[in-house]
Amino acid sequence: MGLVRKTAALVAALSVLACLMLASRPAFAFPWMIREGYTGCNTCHADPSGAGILTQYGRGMEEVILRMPYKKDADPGKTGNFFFGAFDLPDQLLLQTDARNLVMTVIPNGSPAQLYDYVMQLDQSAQLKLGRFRMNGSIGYTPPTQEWGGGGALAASLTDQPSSWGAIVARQYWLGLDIGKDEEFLLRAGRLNVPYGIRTLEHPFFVRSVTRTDSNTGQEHGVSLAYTGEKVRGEVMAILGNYAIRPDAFRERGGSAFVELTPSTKVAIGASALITHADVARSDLEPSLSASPIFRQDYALHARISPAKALVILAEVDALYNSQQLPGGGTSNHFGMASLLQVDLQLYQGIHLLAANEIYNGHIAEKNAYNTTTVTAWGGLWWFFAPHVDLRVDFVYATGSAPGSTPTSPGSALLAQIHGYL
Amino acid sequence: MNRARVLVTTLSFLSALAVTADAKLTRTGTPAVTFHASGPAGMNIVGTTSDLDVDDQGAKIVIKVPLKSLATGIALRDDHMRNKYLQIATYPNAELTLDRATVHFPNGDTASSGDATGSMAIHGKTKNVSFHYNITRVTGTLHVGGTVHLDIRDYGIDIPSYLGVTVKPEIGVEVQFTATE
Repeated sequence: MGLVRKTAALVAALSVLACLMLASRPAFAFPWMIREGYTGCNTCHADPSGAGILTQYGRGMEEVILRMPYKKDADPGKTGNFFFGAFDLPDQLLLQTDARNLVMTVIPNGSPAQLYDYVMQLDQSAQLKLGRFRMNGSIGYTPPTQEWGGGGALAASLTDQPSSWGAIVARQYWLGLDIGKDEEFLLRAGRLNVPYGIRTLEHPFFVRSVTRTDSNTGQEHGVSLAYTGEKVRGEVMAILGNYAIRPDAFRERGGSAFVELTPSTKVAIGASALITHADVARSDLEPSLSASPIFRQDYALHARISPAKALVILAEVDALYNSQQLPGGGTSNHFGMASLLQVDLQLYQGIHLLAANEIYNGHIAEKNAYNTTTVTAWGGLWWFFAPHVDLRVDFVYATGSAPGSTPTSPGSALLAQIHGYL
Repeated sequence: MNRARVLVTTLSFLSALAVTADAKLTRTGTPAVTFHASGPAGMNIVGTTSDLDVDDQGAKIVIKVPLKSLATGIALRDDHMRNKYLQIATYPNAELTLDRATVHFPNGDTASSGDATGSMAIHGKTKNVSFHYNITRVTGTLHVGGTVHLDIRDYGIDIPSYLGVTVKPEIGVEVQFTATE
């Protein structure tokens, strides 16, 4: 029975993808590309602040400078193109199909290991650019529950849930207008990545998960204006709420922005701010919050530095402030912090050794059970071993828990994921 | 009247002698040549080489930069730059030729700077350019720096374009080297 249902789910997924071959989606966000002198994001990504569907140039760079080379200085030709160049797409159209699967063993302290298999991403995304106008979107499928290897992207769900068939998800969809002589400005409206902090693929990092600014499901509906110049880039967004969640009381509204300065092609320093309000706090994401109105404020400083081509250091520190109006009157304020220090060592083109340290405490200076500091240590190996395919293995040790973290409780986790795209 | 003519002629002759009698510049140390190019919406490309020769011909100084080792950090991009655009097999060098008299060399351990003109030859074409220089003399060694802005279209170089990204034709070049007289 299980096999039948799984097969049916798979068939449904493939059917959806087959029907949506004129659309596409993301799975990239490599802030460590600064090692190559690429301080900005929009030469390789349609999203000016990074992540998501690759431009034609980005596909080429994936082959030229990201993947392990098997022939010196070879021109990749059409290898990096959509479907390995089987189709010649018009310049106005970008298509990308992504699939990512994760096998994770979680070993909670004092408990037996648990094995999970997650379908992290089955997305199709696309961008159509006509003159200065752009239409961009992604659509995909997520299985219904952890039992089926899914359930992780439901904040981007387009369909009712839970459903025994899983859900159709759309992480991003927007209309955009390029502005300026060199199209250095992009005005967008739709469901967008929230401009804040380092745009990174690792969505469980505290700096992304507790600020709810990850590129997995942290997108919000709103309007944004992005600017990319030679020395400065940034984006400001009016957040109108995530209309994929209900009821409306849970939707956060406000704004966020980041600015990043690049004094050299190997150094970038940035600052971010996010201020939102919701009528009811997401206590499902942060159990310490009460189901009351909440003002959420996050402020971050970050840096991306490549002192040598092989080495990139990413750092971000966030100040967190949650203020709640309690039902009986009075307020409940929580001060917290989250930090990330990540080192990417490129051992050889296409092979990356990763190490990261995170610290999180959402309730500094409070005398309650929530005032605990969680520290994690990450180590990983990432191998871009073939055109359009990469394999990654991570080991994570955590001393505590935090919203969205991996593992979700004290202990360790071993993760292996494979990602492919067309 | 005739005395005056003789005096002017003599002074001119002596002046010319003084110029040509200056000690020749000899490059020392490791030079640094850097060019900055940009692309659409914030794209930066930096190319470097440490190859630079100074040919002091007396009244003229020729600064020659061999282009074969010019590198931007990405091998395929370097290959395109050298062979497809600069065509170094045919045009191996970039050369700036300037009149010595247009540059003020500091006396003693002092510094000088200014703007001057010279002729730049790249890709088989020569064009007059203005450049800014600064020279500092420290215990007999000249520390020379210069900047010049070029438009590669002036030299018949195709504007580089790859996979939909086109580099702007205006580039900036910085040169630093040390020399002794």
